[in-house]
Amino acid sequence: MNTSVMNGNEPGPPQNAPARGRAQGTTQSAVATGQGQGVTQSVVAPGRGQGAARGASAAGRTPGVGQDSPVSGHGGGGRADRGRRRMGAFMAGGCALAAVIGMLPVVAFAGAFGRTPAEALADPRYLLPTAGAALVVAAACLVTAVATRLPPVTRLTIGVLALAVHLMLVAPSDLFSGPFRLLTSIPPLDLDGAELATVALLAGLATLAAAEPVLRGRSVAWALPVALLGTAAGLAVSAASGSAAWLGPAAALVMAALLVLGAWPRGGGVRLLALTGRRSHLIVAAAVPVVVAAGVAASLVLPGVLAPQARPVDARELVPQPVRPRQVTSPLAEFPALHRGRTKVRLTVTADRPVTRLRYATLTVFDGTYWTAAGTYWRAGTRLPDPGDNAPRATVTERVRVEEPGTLGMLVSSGRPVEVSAPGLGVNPDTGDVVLPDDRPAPPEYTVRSVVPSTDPARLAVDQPAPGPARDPTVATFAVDAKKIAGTERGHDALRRLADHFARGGYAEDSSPTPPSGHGNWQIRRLMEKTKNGTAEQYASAFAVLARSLGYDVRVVVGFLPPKRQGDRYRITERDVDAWAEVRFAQAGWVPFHPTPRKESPDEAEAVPEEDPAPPADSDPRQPDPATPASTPPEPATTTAPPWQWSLLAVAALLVAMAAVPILKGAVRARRRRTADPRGRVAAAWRETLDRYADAGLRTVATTTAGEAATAAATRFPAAAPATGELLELVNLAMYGAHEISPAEGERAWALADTARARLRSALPFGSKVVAALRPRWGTFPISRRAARS
Amino acid sequence: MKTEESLSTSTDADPAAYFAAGHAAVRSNVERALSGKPQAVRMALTCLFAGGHLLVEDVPGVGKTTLAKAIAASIEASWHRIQFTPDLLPTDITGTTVYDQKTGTFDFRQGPVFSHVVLADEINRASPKTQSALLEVMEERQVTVDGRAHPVPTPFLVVATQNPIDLQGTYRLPEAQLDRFLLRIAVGYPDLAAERDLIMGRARAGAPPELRPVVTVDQIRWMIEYVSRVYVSEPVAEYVARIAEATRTASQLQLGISPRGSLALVRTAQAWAACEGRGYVTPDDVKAVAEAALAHRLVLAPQAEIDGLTAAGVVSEIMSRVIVPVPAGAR
Repeated sequence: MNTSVMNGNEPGPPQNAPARGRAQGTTQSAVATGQGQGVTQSVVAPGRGQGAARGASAAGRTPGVGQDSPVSGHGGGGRADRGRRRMGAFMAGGCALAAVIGMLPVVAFAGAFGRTPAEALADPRYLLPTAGAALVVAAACLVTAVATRLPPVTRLTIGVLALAVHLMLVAPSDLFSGPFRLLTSIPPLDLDGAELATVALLAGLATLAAAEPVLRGRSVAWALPVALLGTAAGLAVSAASGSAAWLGPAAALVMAALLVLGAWPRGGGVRLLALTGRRSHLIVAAAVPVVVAAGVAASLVLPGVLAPQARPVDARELVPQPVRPRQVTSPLAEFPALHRGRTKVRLTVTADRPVTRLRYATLTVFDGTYWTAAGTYWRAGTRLPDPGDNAPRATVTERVRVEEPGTLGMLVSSGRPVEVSAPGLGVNPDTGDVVLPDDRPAPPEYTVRSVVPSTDPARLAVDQPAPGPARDPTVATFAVDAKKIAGTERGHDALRRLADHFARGGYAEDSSPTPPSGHGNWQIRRLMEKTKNGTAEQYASAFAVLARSLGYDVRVVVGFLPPKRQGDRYRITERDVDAWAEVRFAQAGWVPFHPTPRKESPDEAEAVPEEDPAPPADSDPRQPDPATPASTPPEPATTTAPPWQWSLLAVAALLVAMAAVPILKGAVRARRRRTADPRGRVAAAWRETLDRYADAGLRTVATTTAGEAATAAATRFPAAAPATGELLELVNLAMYGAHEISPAEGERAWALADTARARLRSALPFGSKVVAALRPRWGTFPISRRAARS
Repeated sequence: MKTEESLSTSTDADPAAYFAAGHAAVRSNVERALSGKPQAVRMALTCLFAGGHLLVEDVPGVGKTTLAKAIAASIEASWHRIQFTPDLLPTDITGTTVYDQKTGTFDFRQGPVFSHVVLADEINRASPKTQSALLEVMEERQVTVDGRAHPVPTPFLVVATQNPIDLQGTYRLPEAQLDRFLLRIAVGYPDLAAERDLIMGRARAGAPPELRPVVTVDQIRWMIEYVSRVYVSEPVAEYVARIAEATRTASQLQLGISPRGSLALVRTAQAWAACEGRGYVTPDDVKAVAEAALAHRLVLAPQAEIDGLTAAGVVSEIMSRVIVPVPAGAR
């Protein structure tokens, strides 16, 4: 009888015959002794069943699996333990490999989260959530595979669940906006936002997608696609940080190594190394981490060797400008309104050192009439892009409380902002201006750390201003005037003379209630030739235009001239508005020039006095600034995106509900299996088998007899028929027969039930398998000891 | 007898095997005569081993008589065939007392009913009086003439056949008397392949083979005894009781089955289980024999008859809604 079961159900190649013979012996001994060897065997049964089901080619490819598994229950405890250990080693190896594969996207995305990939990878705030996701998923898969006999679908669900829990605990944020934010934000990204959660999710999914094929005994090549996609996405997103160029070759190297491993003797590299323990395979296994490490190390040490010369593809270029600034008119055009007090602005600025000027807008384009800002504003985190030059600079931290924002659409700071407490603002990577986007509320208070170029006149004298646009027709008409003023001087001195021309050359600042407005060519000409009287708007524009006509790279800055310090704070109003010009020097970077004539401070500083470049408060930017206590403004995301969170919650609830079904089924099965009375145990095994058939879509009702159910099952699922038929005999005997049922028969009933279940599962196509696993059996819920037993 | 001895020694060792051997012998023997109808043969033998009487009801020419004859011939026992006709008298069946001039006494001369197997062909052609004479013997297993009881031999098996069509000049058996038959079966037409084989077999070999007895009367007696000892568990008894209950409350039925009907069902199920090689009855056995054991005991309600329902249809409908009892601990 037993032979017919085995032979009828495992049409395999001849080399599997001895294994079958042994399996038979195992089953019989399990019946005879009743010591749970049958159960032991059934632990490994699913994998073997699949191997056999895949037919001759698959069985030929996986000789180790096919022959080794039955041994686990064969000749007593020692060999069974060894088999189990090997199985466990194989699973552990597979999950470790999956975790490594899951790390690939983590490494690929690192460039987007730090100023360099290495910086992000060294940061536990990046590494913990992302690599943690891979590890958590791998661990969940491993534990589920080793310690339980849950079907793969349930294992998958548990993995997803573990990932979801991990994400909720470590990076609770709005996952759905993550990919979009990855594309519309500029590196370095925040380490606590949806972007990080997305990377963690990708890492987890890549691990899951890698662990599952490996645990099912497929080739390692199956484990790669998701990780490959994640890595490609990471490279495309972190390309903007520039230094990520080495990642492409490194990832390719890793993939190649894994593929080589996957193609090792007949596709079973990883499995063979764990199962047969041959030394050659161990060497292959050891080679993987070595190759990975070597690839990464080589890329880190010699970025130029592997990095491609051309600029890598940046996925950000595919999406339209992400941030629309709140203020669309030119800040310099708004200068008169502020200067005359028509628009109210009230700011309180607390700074850790004296502030000479506060800037907020940088205007780079002059069309003959208006100075405007050019460039794209990118969504930024709390860390902002670097200026990208090596000019000496000092760091200043200011805390700004906005009492009345007026039309102010930008952050106010002493220098170029590099870190801001409010995330989600727009940043222009060229000028460093931080704009308030029009899609979220303005922060009422923020802390901004900015860098101020430290320039001293002696250095500037030997420095050279960088050349601007070759020939600008809009300013060409002023070239004669500019040369007349500059005389024979060049470079810094010429610019000084230009500034002095306005500041000390008989010009005056207009303090009347109705000063002139406008800063185009006509106004400049009028200022220089007629009125000699104007506001900072005209002086800054005039200086910039003249300097530009000399061929230098000049821009206009709008900001505030803070009044007297009160304690450590400055109270800024709209009337403190100021404008000046900046010229780019080859070494020093952007150097400010203040051409506006002022009585009290005729020309206080073209250059900010050099200061200590590294004040203690700046040594660790991650530590909260003493000037910024916990009163950070609320994150805009939490107030604007509750629907996302609700949907996330709904998805989580759905996932939990879906996972609950197989888990509860497992619990019911465990309780049924523990039934003490042998007769009840056999009946419980039958009940369990019927439930699994019902999951597969075989409807049985209370009026169906056991024989009818078995016949219907045999017709529909012939693969499971022999085991079911044998079980039926036992069940009839137990339920309607006269004689006592022995514990061994109870044991055997469960062994048959397990076999039938495994056969049934392998006979179902994947979709039906998922449906079957998730189909609830209301009759058996809720679980109580009594419900499961009686 | 030698074979019997060897068989009877094996009864002590393994009664189930002994029964199975006897059953297989009879079955293969009968199937030689009636090929292609395994279900009818099985059912007929179930009836034989259950110790009941069999009514074969079908159209002419499907092998009713062949089946009955084959069963009779397979047993090493006396058998008679009575062809029922309208003018058949009760005494033609039971026998009569004749005056013996030598002794000066009335001697009872046994009729054809005094044999182990009685083949009552076209039973519905005889008059009700004659029919009831036979039916009385079937139930009482004895013939009472002039105040003296003459028991018929055991085992006593009546295989009656009747033709459901061609009802002119027939007397339909009353329901109360149909109850005496343990099973009512139909033979049915053979399927295409079976009929082809049948034709080919006849064309080549001519007449059907002469059957030889394969079991003795004692053996049959033992087997009937064995069947009565097949274990009936409480859930199965409960199941039969539920079925009986359902027939009595069914709206399509005027009359459900009697407790005798329930007992008949259990007995048939026991025989079926024994033929299946099992020492206990399962609900599947009950379901398998329910139609044959119950259909002829039911009286359809007038409305059901107008609706064109059949008793067999009602039985299967009832079987499809009676919940199968499961012993405690099986859910």
